[in-house]
Amino acid sequence: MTNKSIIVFDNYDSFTHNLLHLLQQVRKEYSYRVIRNNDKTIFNFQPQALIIGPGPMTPSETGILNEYFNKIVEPENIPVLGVCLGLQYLAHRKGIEITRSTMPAHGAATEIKHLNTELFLGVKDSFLGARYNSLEVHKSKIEADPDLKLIAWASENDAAMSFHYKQKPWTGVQFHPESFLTSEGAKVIDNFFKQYVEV
Amino acid sequence: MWKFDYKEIQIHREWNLDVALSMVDQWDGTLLYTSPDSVSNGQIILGLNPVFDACDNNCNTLEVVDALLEMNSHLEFPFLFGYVGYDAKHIFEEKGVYQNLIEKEFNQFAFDAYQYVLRFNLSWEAKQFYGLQNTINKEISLQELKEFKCADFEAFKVKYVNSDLSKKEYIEGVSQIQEYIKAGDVYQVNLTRKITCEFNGDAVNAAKSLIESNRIEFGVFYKSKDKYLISTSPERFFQVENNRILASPIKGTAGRGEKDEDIKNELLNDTKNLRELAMITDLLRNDISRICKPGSVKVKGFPILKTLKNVFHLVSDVEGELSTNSFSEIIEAIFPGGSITGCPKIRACQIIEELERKGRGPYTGSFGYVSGDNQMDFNILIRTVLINDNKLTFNVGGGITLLSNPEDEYLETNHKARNIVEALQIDDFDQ
Repeated sequence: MTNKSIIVFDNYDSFTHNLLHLLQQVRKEYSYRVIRNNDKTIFNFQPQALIIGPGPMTPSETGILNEYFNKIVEPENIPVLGVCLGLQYLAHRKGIEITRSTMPAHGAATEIKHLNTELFLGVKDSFLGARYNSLEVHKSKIEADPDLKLIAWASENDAAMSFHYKQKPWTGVQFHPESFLTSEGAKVIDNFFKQYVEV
Repeated sequence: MWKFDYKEIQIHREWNLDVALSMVDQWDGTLLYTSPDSVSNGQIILGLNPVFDACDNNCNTLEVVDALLEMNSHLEFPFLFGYVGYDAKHIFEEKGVYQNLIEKEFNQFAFDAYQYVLRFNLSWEAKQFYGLQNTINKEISLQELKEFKCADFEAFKVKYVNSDLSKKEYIEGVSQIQEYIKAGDVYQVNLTRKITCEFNGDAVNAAKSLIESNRIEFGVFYKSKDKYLISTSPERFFQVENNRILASPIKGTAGRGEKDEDIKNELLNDTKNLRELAMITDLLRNDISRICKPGSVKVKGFPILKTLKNVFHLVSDVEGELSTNSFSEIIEAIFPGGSITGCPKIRACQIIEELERKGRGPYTGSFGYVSGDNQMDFNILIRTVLINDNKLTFNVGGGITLLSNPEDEYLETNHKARNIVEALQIDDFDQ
């Protein structure tokens, strides 16, 4: 792998390649490798960043993701952006319980509010983001964890829509930046690179 | 592997639907049909007398089709006709992902090159006729085509036998899917049930009845080795023209009636339909992204209202610039069509296997053509009737989401069956 390489972790999902194309549009100078969640060749790679794609099931059903975090991502301090199931994994890793959503929605553009942190620089104070989730993390659970910082939430039910780790280069979004329903997806991806990868 | 020469030919005779159906019956062939009142700019293409076939009996993958196309890139007209059935989905996915439920009555996939390819406009006026030259099979002479007499259509009788799943099983299936959705497994699943009937009489006449019962956008009449496939599909899966791919998924249907304006507005503002269409639009963006240049995939229209004879449909158009022109790579990336699986596709197909417990055969696969220069047009095989000897089968189904009402979803499958039941005058159809 070249210096500028990114892994897109595919949880057997139907939106992985939308995410890949968005990444390629925002940063075409990187090489991207899509690796499925049971593919052990991933252990050969120490990418510049790991993008955890969305997917079905729960954060404990993400194949070898946890093992990859333990062996490579955490020791090597690799920047991570988790999308949907990816955000849920980042919460699950801290022992936070993921619960059934009070407002499950699939293919719905919902209003999202944020705190103008680096990930949302230049993004309107409230914007429309596509949701495809039945499971979620309530924002209070993120706020209760001293290692995590809540940075965006759904105005309709206070579900966490984005948070980051305070001491690690890890962040996640519950909405789908790659959906055609999301107005500010490219900006969020651009901000992720600026905040975590190109430092 | 065969490289074919061709000649443009002329055949002066009367052409119409009856003649085309009879010819397909007589010599085996494919009729791709669009009715005169169609809303898409379709065409009519007739392929007759198979001279080459690639199917799962003689090859494992579609690479044979690729190789044949490569040798015949000089054939700048529809050259290969056929289908990939839903059950072929395992061929294009990692081993072990699917159980490989296969309905064995029809091939999993089958493509034919025909001795004659005849193109018409929607009024049956000849556009171009082509004849492949160096074929080894028994050839039909131009004289035979010219003098062919349309058969007298005879009566047919269709008697309902059963539905698999039963009403109770279908409704339970809907509830089970909703449990899977709440648990985070999946967002939407298309659940179908298969209706089996006893068939006696003239299959061509049955096909005629079906085709004339509706406005046809992407219709098919196909006969191979005494088996018939008749599709009155309203849905295009994808089209490739000049290295661009267009996919047009349908989600949301409403029967037309006296208050057409109200029905239309209700459909355009219905949350369930719009969310399903959004989901399928993102899914199709994803699937065509696998074979398109980054940044080239665009949603061209969402939602688009399509007005058919009996129903309104919600559709979207997703387009991209291809990074490959290999037919097998395109199919591998996008098959089966997301509008008839659910989303995420792999988990949805696994749940379909669990709940339907049987293969779907060609149903919800895709039928279409590929030209030697890689132009393609494929439908989604819904509203599709299969006839094999005395057995006639078709499936009906719908997209199940959290917003579905199980009982209504079952009624919706009956509603979708209505056109077929009426066209074939099926006795004792169980409502």
